[in-house]
Amino acid sequence: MSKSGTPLPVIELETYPPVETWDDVTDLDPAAWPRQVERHSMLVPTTCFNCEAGCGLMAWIDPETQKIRKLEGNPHHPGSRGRNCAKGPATLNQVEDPERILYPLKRVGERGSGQFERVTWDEVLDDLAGRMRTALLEERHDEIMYHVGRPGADGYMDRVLRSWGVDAHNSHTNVCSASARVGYALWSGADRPSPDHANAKFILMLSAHLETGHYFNPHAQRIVEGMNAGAKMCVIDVRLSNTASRADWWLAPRPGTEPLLLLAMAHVLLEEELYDRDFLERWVNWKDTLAFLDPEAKPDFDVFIEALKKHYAFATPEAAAEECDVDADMIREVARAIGEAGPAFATHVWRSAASGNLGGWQVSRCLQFLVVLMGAVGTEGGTNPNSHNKFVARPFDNPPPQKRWNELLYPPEFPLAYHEMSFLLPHMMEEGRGRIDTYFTRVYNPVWTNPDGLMWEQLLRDESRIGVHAALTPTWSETAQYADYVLPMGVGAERHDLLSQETHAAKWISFRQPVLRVARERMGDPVEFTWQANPGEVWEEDEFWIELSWRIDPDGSLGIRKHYESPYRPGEKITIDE
Amino acid sequence: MQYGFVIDHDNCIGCHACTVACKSENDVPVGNFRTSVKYVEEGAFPAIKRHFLVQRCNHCTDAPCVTICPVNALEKREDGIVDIDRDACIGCRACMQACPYDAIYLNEDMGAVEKCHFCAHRVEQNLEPACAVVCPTNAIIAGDFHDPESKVSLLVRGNPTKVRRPEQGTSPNVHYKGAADITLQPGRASRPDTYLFSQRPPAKPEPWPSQLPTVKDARVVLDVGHKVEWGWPVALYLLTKSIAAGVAVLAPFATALGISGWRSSIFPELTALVFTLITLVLLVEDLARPSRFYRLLTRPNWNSWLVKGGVILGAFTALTSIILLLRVAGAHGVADILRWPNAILALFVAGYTAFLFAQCKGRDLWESRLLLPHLLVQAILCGSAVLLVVSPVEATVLTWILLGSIVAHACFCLLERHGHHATANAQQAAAFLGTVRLWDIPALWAGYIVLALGAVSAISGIPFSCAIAVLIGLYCYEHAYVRAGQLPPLS
Repeated sequence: MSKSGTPLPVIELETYPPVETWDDVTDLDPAAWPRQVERHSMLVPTTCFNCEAGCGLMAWIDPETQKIRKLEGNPHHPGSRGRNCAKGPATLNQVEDPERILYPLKRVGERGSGQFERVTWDEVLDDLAGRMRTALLEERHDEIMYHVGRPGADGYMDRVLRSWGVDAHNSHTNVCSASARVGYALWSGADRPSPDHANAKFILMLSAHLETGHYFNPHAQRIVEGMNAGAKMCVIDVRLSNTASRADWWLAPRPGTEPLLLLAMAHVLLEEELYDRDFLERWVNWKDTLAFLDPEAKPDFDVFIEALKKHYAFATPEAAAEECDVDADMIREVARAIGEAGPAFATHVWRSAASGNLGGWQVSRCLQFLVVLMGAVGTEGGTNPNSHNKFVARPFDNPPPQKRWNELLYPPEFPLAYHEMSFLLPHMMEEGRGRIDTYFTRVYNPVWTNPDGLMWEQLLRDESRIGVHAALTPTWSETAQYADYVLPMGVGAERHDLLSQETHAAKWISFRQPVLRVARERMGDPVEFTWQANPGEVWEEDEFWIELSWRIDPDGSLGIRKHYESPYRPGEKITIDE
Repeated sequence: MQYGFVIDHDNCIGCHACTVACKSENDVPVGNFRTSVKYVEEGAFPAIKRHFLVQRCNHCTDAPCVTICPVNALEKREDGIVDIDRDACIGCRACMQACPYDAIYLNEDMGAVEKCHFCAHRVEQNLEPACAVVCPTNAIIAGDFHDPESKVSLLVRGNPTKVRRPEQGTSPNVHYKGAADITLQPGRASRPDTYLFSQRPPAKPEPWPSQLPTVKDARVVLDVGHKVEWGWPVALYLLTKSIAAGVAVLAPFATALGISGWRSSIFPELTALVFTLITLVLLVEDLARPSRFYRLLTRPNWNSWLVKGGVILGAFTALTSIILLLRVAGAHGVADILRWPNAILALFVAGYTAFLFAQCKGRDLWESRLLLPHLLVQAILCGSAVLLVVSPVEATVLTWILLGSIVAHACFCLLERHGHHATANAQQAAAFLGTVRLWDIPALWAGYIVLALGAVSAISGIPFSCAIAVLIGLYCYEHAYVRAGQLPPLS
């Protein structure tokens, strides 16, 4: 209290320096402390790339040495709100990793021998562009393949591949999220959920979003917010995760029995009339379903409900208890709590039980069934389709879709394949079903992460099957070992990307940028290519693809070049800023 | 002002973002932590919970680390932050013994200790500590506890909160909301060899003493390791200091004990001087930065018993040297008289360590009231054993003093090992006293047996082997005592 009796204002510490100071923030050198040695930093925002959430990061850059001092969060990022998980500040370890590859490398020994020599980006671009131009001129479009593990951007690469007129996009999705995605997509086309945890009354997780998974940090923030506001949480996980430990109910079913556990909850919701009747009647194709369940029945909603109850009559909590080894009463308890939450019912399966096992897609399908029964689609505290909350920006120029079908990606004998049958690639090549002239791997390490790494090693060693393999990667990897070019690409603080994620019930887009380049430009030192500002000659894909595409079609005769011309300076090459 | 933290374990998800942000902000070496998250699991499947505890410096109102630091390298700032001046630190690691929370580590690259300093360099710029900024779930709240309207004050007033180890009387300024008791009470949960993701760090390889009860179905599954900082040099220091003090205490009685000639006149002071110098060398060499030992003189903290002990050792060295010089000069009368004040000084030499160890608030075993009399007995034990070597065979009084000291020492050992201890930490340390090994032999038992051999030698009139046995036997005990005190977990 002051002398006059009025309360003195509470002085709390700030979380971040005020925005207006970001060009020149004065702080004290922690290494010199307790000597008070002032230092100056330039703060440059970017986004994290250590998972797909794209949380905000802020690089503190030493303007003299042009080095990153540390990475903190960005208080203006709507997803992460200035807070981060451990992987955010740890980006600095990647930037300064003493073992990172700093320059483009070309193989000099045999494939896999580990012998490389440093080359220039010009040599890399000329060689790859020349090969690809020849392939395109010879109508060998299917011999170009881009195989991505971690895109980090929305849509950029799709545009590039379309501009080349190739069907070349391969992914890791089928050893990861494809089965969970298909379970969701079958309901409404949107292949991921966007739960509104902050406003939920009941949160059902088949994931460990308090510690892992894409969107862990933004989700954890909002799950805890929701729980503090009274939400109950049930976690279904065979492991005792931190998330499971924080849950009001932890159910650890026998692995692979999760769908029945979820159907047992649906059974209770139906039998005890806890579902959202109006929602189902309005939004679900119940007439078609009824016709499937009972072709003789008249199209009446009550008849449908009875048919549905009959259809799931087998999935009693007792039956599930037997199959899943989970207490039947607990299943009932959870189902009733879901019923009580009504449309404020947020759910997520982050791969977990859905991933990498036969029938895993039924996990997300059954989970979404509960969401639909509760009418919790697109509601406050409910579970949105990801498309409600994800914003993918349209580029300035959209090349037409490719007119080719590469059967190494979607083989005809798998007509229902959801995402590329990527894990079969070495087996199909072994059968002689194709050749790849130019193969790009992008943060993709199948030799290590795919179940049959040795098959991949065999394929990557075989020069008759793969003409040239360029590994675009921020780090060394088991797959880079078998590459002809190892091309160092930037980590989160060293590249441009546009990214939007369904982290919560809102829509945002984030802008990742190479912070050292931005710092140099802010100081009046223009930079032509990002690799000139990054450590060594570490580049970024966005500029790399522009340069490569330009060199594939230098005279514009292939129809590629026009997609890389500046919208502002006709006929000239577009810059990354444009 | 009193800056501090509220750790809200109702919100904490155990994600370690604080740990990493702190490391990034403060360039903390690999293997060291200024803040860390402990995991404890409680219960049996399926009714099981994993609890977290964010651990760090408590910025205690009564910070024992500040009191014990001999060179004022630790400071309680006006805003309540307990800060370390790494440039001033000499690396004695006394603060690590004084901290009841294992919050301090030695940065081996710098030869100086470090710990959480509330990001004081950020606070100067009006910024929150890095851990509080990064925390995804707002579980770390930083603020001023003296401001009744601050967030931290409101949280503590409006919620039940706890602190770590309140019995240590340090008044911690990290308050825990929603933390499980099992995480706050060290030693209550078992520590399996395998943690959640790794082997348990082998810093303290001793197995948990079987007689110490732990809560059923509770185990620590993740925690950082803490090394035993004070090893053989400190154990040996206790021994050499006892020898020096013991002979000086007995010196005025040399004639009465039947010792004569040079044995009576020069031997006690010569022995005391040599062993005091060895003691000093051990103390200096054990510093992480021995070349900075002089700072004890240039920037002394008079509250620290390391400084007071240094002064006592210095005074003792000086007076002992003077007595020796007087002997050389032939002034035996003055020398004889000066032996009395030197004997009193020697009692201080023997006993001051009890006050130093009492300042080690992290080592409850060492805070025992038995320590002072025990140290005096140890001095007499060592003094009589060494003097016996130079005394005539028929020195029965000295032999009886020696035998009496052995019995008294054994009684103290039994009391320390099996007696009642007020705190859980002291009880745990007493149990470890029985399990500490030296050259792979249980040290306490080795000490008993070798001392018994020493007693037999004394009775048999073989003074040389008696002295060797007594000194080895006592070293065994010092080793066990110094190590056992540091073995119980503080987290």
